[in-house]
Amino acid sequence: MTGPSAAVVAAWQAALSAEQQAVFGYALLGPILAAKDRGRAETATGDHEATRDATSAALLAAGHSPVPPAADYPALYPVPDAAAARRLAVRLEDSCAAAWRYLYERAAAAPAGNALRGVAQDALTASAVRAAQWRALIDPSRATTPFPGI
Amino acid sequence: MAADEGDPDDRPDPAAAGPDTPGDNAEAADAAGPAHAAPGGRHAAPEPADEPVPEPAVEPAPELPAAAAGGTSRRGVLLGAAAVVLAGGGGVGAGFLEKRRRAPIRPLPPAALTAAADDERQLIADLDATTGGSAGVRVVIAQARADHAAHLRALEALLGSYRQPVTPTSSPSGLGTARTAAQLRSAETQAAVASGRRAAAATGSLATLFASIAACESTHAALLT
Repeated sequence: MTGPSAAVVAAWQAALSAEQQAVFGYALLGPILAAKDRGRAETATGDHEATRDATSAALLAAGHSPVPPAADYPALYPVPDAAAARRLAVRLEDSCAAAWRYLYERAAAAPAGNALRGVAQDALTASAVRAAQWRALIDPSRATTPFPGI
Repeated sequence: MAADEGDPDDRPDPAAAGPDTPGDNAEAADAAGPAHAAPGGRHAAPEPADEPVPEPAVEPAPELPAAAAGGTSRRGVLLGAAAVVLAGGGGVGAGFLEKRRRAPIRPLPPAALTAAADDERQLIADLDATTGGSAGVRVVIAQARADHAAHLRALEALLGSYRQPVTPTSSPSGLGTARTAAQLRSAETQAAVASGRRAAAATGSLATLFASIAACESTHAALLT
């Protein structure tokens, strides 16, 4: 039995990078959020940390070295106020959704990649839901998107 | 108030609400358009105008003396004209058969794709029939309706590349049922589970489409909580 293809592993590592960015980004935006939003951000941080750690462990178990997180993520700045912090939370979740959707696509195309589909589906859905919840706080009439991650 | 938790009594008749919704039928018709117009499809079978019509297989009628133009001669002209039409029609028919022989036979669509489209139609019908609810629920219903319409368009675009089944599938009747918010949430959750299963059983871009639809349906359920 062969392991995942190089394309699947690359997409898997990209999903890990997106989760690392999300953890960093929530740490950045959390203190800037309005107090009423901080609980949601803390929950999201915990979720992304858990997904990041599980993804790293799974890559290691599959014989791959997880990519390290970046030292900084300049593209996430500036975050001048609470409204910008909410918008950044949406961006972080959309980035994760896109990364997990891409892994799903790679896994669906590769014969040996099917075991990853469940993981990718769960993570895609989780980020899509969090993104929708953040968008609902910004504009309730534009909370959802028909094809998350695409 | 319909779509409020457990108070469906003052909803309007869903049978009246569904078909009256503007845009629903129009969207369905738009989405169905490309499928019916697909090259080689059942409805796109050979156009007679594309085929060269052979020359009539009859001799032109001889010119009649002016004094003889009348009863019998008129019948002859009519018979000649009929022969021309029949001969031309035969040519068109031959062309039709020839084109049918050349056209590749497309496969029937995967059952999962057909079922997914049926499910989207039913969800849309139920959302259209649900006319009550709080302002917050109404906002989610409007977005869910738009999302499901987008899903249906994408699915029908894919269906258009397959042969249309001769007998219709178990398509919903088009009449939706007014739901409470809790029922809508449950329906979206069930739809997400079904889409996720279809994704897991499919391959390639169809699998990814189902996976994304599943995620979307989960967002609806979450926002209805």
